[in-house]
Amino acid sequence: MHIPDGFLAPTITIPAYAVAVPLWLWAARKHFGPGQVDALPAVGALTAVAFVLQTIMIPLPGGTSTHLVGASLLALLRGPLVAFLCESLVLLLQALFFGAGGITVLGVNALAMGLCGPFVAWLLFHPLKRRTPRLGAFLAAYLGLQVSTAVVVLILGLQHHLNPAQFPTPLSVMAVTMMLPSLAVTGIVEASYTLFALGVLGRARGKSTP
Amino acid sequence: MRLDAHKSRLVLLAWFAACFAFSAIANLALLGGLLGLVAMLFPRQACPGRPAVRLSQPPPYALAILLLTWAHARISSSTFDPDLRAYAALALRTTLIAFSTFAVLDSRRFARG
Repeated sequence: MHIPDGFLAPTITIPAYAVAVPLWLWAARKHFGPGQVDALPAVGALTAVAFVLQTIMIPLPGGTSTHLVGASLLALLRGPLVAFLCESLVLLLQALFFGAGGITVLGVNALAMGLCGPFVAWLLFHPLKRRTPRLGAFLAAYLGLQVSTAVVVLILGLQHHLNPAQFPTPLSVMAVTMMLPSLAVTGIVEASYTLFALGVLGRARGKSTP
Repeated sequence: MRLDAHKSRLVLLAWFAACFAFSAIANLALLGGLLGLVAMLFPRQACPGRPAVRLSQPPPYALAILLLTWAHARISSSTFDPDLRAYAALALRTTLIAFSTFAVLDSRRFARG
């Protein structure tokens, strides 16, 4: 669901950077300072998994794609700010070396896929964690991905509304094109993967629950 | 020619600013001219020697996605009459930014610098 370079005008991409940069700095200071060195191997491994998952993309008409994100897992395990920072790193590498997403839209993509979705997943998982951890994780990951997709759709719709010559496909077309595969397929696969990964990590740590 | 660290930073900064400037352009002729200019600035990246590398350049994919998107928009929305020029500009803009990015990063002078 990466928005490629050129789809959005600087009227959207520059404010997105203005929001994302302070959040990157805050997240880096809060979670990757000298006191958090122990967490780095696990976070690095989860980020690498997210990178691999996102590299497998199914192109969609409209110029975007659908794919797993893997950031909800990071949010459930380490919090939404860690997920945001790691997802942003994944997006930067993909933009520079694979042509997925882009450098001008990095802030927008990071906020949509790295912050909004994982934050909703994290919010949803917390109240359900004690009662039904497995169902909670499944729902959180599923809805997190839908939120990310919906934010991308809304941003593209906003660009069409602001200047149709910049992005000619209307919101109604993009909503159907992007939300249907996400609701029917990608969300379920993402949720299943998150549940599976949490189970594996829980067993490795000697717990039956995440 | 080797680029020192200061020049490398300037080139990166210019590329970063240029990407934002390119993303604001919707004029087809201007986008085409700029693509030609960037191709002249990076001739080795614009026309790589190996055919396999040439096929992996963004333009063929951008063209295919442009046509697919236009056809999809035309079929899926009866009230919407898609403007092919806007799609062409979108494809050119995406290609221009993608090519600039890869050309700057892949530039031999940059790699050696």
